[in-house]
Amino acid sequence: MIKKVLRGICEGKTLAEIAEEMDMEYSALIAMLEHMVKMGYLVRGKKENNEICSTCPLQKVCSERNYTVYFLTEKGKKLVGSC
Amino acid sequence: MIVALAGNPNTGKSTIFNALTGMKQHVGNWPGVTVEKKEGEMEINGTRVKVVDLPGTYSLTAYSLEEIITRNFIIEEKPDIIVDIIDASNLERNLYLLTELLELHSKIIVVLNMFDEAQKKYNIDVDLMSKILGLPVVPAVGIRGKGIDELKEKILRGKFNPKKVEYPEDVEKRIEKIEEKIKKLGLEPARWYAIKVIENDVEVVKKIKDKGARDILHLAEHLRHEIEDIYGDDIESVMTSFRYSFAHGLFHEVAEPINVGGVTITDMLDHVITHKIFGIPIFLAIMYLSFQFVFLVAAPFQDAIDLLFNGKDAAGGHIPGLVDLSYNWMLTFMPDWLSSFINHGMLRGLGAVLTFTPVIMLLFLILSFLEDSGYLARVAFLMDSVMKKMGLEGRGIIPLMLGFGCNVPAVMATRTLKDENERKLSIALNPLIPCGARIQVFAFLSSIFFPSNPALVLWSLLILSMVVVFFLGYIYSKTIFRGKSEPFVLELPPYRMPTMKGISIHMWEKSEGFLRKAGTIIVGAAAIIWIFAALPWGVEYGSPDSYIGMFAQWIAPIGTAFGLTPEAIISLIFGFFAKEVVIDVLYVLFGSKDAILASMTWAQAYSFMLFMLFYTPCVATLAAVYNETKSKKFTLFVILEGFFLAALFSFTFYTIFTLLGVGA
Repeated sequence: MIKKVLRGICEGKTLAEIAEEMDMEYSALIAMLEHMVKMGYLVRGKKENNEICSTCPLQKVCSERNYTVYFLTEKGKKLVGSC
Repeated sequence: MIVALAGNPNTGKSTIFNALTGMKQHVGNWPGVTVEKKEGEMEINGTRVKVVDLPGTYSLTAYSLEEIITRNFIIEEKPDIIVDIIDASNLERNLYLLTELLELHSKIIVVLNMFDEAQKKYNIDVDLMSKILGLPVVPAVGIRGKGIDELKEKILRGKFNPKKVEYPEDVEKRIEKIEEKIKKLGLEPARWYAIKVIENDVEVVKKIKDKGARDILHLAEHLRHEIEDIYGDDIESVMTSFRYSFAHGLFHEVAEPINVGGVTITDMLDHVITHKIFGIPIFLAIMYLSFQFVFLVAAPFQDAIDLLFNGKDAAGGHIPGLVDLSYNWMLTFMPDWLSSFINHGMLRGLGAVLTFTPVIMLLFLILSFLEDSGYLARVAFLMDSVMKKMGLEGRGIIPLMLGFGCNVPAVMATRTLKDENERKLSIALNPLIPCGARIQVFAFLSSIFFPSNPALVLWSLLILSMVVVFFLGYIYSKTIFRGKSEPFVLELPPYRMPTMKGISIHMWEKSEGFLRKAGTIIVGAAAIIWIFAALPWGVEYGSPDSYIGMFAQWIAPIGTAFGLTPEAIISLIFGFFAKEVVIDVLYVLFGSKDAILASMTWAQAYSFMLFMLFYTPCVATLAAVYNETKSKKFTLFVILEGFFLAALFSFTFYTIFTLLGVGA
């Protein structure tokens, strides 16, 4: 299942599409992504975890919030093969 | 008797804990760490029960403190019963932890909390779930105390015949081989230890190493490689996927969605809003309507502030504004040059700032509304889809989206891009995204020069910049900045109705930053412009004999081909320091909105805005570009790219309209 999710991300699918394809609840997929972050397959890019943003004087003006971005790590890419 | 409460975060675990223990509870920390530990006591039919609230976790890996605390407590303290509190309205998500608990403990009571909410989503067959798992399953609504008595009853008299999470035969055989050896070591639960050592769990490996059982570690390593060879994946992914499959299967066995496909309002809206074909037109329509709203509501406020500061030319003569009144009043006790400096320089600069405040605040009000409602996150998603179609994909989209706020942090954010070419591509495109400051200036100029439809003008500039970014991005990614993109996915938040309080706070946070900048840089710039317009001593303010007038005459031929007036060129030069200053320069040079309007034709005004859309980024952005690339050549490339595009669009537009004899 993990590989399927990673492959979906590689293929540029949305989370809704991946969840639909896997016949999975969206919230379950999000929890799975978080688990995959811990396992080192994905890395999360979110404003509060972003070093660059936290030191930026224009943080308040910036509108990059409200969503989380997940990137594949080298480990994740290795698992999927070609990405 | 010890009962441990486990569960995902936000499943109502604390509510159940409070309902069970009442006032008999105390809070401390888990030994050696600062994770909160809650313990309480209750009595069920004369039996004293100690209740321990374990930290909320989604899984039981060795990657986080909360997970290690939870699993160590179960292994070392050996509670008599574990109560797994599940948010039944997100059933599938919560079942993964249950699969892990099943490997750790045999006496588990499953509490389906928030059962009332869950019943709106699906029919859960509680009895079937209990039968499949071989465990008591208790539906509950903790917040109303429902199910608590049944839970207490099951704690005392529950029947446990748990099903184990079964792996495929080739995996099970290998687990059994290790399990036998673990049993001899005296580690319990042996099956869990066997699975974890095969999975190469660092904590378990360490424990076995401490026991000196290196043979188990060697065997585990050998078996691990065998499993990896069979399934062609790394062991963690193989074993975790089996557990997810178990949870997934269990969910589909016991829960039947009530609404077709479990479609939520968010799903329905997303089908339309993020649609491959309709998504972008909907975004453009929303932007257009937002701009219309801003201009419609801001116009009377802007006119009133302009009238207050600068007065108005009426049929009966000039109605003086604050600037005139204050200038005349100060003349009674100070020299003319000083009164002019204070009023025509500083006060008029302040007036300019205040005049475009309504536009800024309303734009940010709309942006905050779109952001809080969850729509802006969809815009990032839509842009990503378009970028992918243009052959430009990956992390580069995030810094580009940031550019709409300010190009400086956007350029800095490219640090997250590992591929050098992808990074350069993102930096090269970034200044072409109109930052907040430029959007403010366009909004202001549109309202002056195109009062009948300023929203359409602002909208057209935004679309042009997006088209140019997509087109150039495509060209660059295929030629000079060929890079390897980073795959990523966005988690979109659910739609929600923003609260007035929430959007007011966000609007103020954003407006405050701009106004503070405006209050310092812009008023300061106004003072400098006044000095150039008033010197050398004795010349008429802003006349051809003043420094600024001489410079304007010298520079005028350069702007002719683009329809740029000398004053417009001067404002663009000052705009290099901060884009907002452009408005300020025009105000200080012309004195009022009416005078600015009279200084250019609409074709010249639009050409001016086209030039400003692309010409060199501000000094702070260029400094960021140089800092990030440490390349003078690349920084020069960014400047030349901007000037080339500015000249191209401005010249083409102005020439066509001049030849057509329209707006010239």
